[in-house]
Amino acid sequence: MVLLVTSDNEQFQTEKDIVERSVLIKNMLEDVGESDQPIPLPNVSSSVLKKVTQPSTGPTEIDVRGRYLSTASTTVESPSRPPILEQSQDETRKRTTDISEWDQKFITVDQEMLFEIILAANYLDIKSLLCRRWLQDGSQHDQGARPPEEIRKLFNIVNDFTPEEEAQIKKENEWAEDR
Amino acid sequence: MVLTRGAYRNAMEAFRWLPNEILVDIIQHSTAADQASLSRVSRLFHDLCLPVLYRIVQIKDKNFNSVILFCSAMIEKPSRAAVVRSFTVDVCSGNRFNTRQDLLLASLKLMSTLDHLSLSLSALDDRHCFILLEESNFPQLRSCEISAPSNSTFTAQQISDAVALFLTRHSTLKRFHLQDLFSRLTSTSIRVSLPNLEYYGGSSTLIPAIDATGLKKVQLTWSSESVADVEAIIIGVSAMTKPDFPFVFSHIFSCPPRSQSIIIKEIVTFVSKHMRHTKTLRLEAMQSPDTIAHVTECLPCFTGLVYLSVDWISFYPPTTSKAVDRITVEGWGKVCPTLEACCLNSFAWRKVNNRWKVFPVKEFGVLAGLPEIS
Repeated sequence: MVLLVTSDNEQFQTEKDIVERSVLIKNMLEDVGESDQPIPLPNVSSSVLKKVTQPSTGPTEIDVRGRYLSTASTTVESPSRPPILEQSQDETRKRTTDISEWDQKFITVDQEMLFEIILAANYLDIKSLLCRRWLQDGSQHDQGARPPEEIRKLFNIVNDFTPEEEAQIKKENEWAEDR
Repeated sequence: MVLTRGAYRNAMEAFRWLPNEILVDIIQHSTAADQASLSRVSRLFHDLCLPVLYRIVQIKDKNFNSVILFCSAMIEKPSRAAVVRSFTVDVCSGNRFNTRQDLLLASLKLMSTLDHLSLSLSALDDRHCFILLEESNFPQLRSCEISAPSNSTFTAQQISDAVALFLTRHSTLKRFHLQDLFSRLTSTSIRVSLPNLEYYGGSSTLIPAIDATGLKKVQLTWSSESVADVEAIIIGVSAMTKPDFPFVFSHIFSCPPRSQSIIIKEIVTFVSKHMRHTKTLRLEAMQSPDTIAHVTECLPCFTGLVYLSVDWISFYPPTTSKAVDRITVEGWGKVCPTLEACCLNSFAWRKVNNRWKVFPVKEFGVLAGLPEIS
């Protein structure tokens, strides 16, 4: 067991194999060696850490969380697959379509929490599927990409293009949107 | 910078307070269509998306219209073509061809930093494919897969020389695969040195022209013309491999059944003689009890054979039953103790506690280093 201390001074007893999915913590543990000293995580709050590492209520969630955080899939079709963030070009795009139920549940936390989780995952260096999923915000867009207007609205982004500029960009990249 | 991001955070402009590297991470994990859409969201996203969108270009499961749109955009902004590292055109269109192949060729010429090129059948017809082979020059090309139609207006000699010259211009290649048109290739007097080559897929007749040292996987297409040279070709491949490295050797055939069974016999004989260290051997061919018996006969010569696949091509479905196959597989296991799994008549078998059991073919493909089997 490893003791983690969050930014709001809460302590978490976590199993070693779970925390070691975080490259940051894994390296720390390797540097320090066996020790009872708590590991401080000044950039992660307790509510976020719970989401990232602590077992959730249902057994299925624990199960998928393991898969989620490790990303090293155990299914036969992918033993050679490198972690998602380093995987080959083909795979990256192919995999964007398979969304587990749990991923969807995970993503339905409120937006601010979602960003906090993303920052935490980045800080802890957890190779997760986190990043790519949230674009769709839990709902699936089978009809191609989410339109820019919707993305702006969803994430409160100001459009700083002139209509002409936007039309020109649309034209240039039409090959990617065309079906 | 911190202050600015903080201000955005308070204003709930979510994307603006996330660091750019995380945004790029997100962008990299979205589809090309998402990236194109994101590039229209704001200037920040435009600047972050474009390098990702144009780095790996895959025009798959679409129609030629997408290819034409992409190529037109390239011609209009050649600087964008220079960032393309990987370019894949995989368009299924039956027998129809791309109507603007000139456009595709012109944009390919602009892709000066291309690392991976993959063109499916009907992206280019034989004439344009020939031009590509003759004229293209990608100084950083490492992986190249081209399929072209077989009804060629050029002689086998012309094409073979063009392919060899293409290879001499691309000595950086690590993977090279040529299909169809090129199964008609004949020998060429041009010698090609490919020091980095690890995978070769294509006509067996080109083997004597190639000089490599570290081949790991080879898929040879055999035609009737190569009957006389089987031993020389196998020795040629052998010379390009390292005996201590596990080698994956596949053979497919584009010749009539009669010469096929002759060539298969020769291949198995000479591979067992000159390439005993082969780890995976695959024959995709018409089978006869004769062929199977010959395989069984040659198996004891192998020292490191772990995976063996003898699968049938669609025109000649297997004539044996699963019970007969089991006897065959058990026989193989007896004469070749290193064998761990094999694939016969679209069933895969695996040795578990000295008993042979059926398991998914796909799994066999992954284990054996033959992901193309499914």
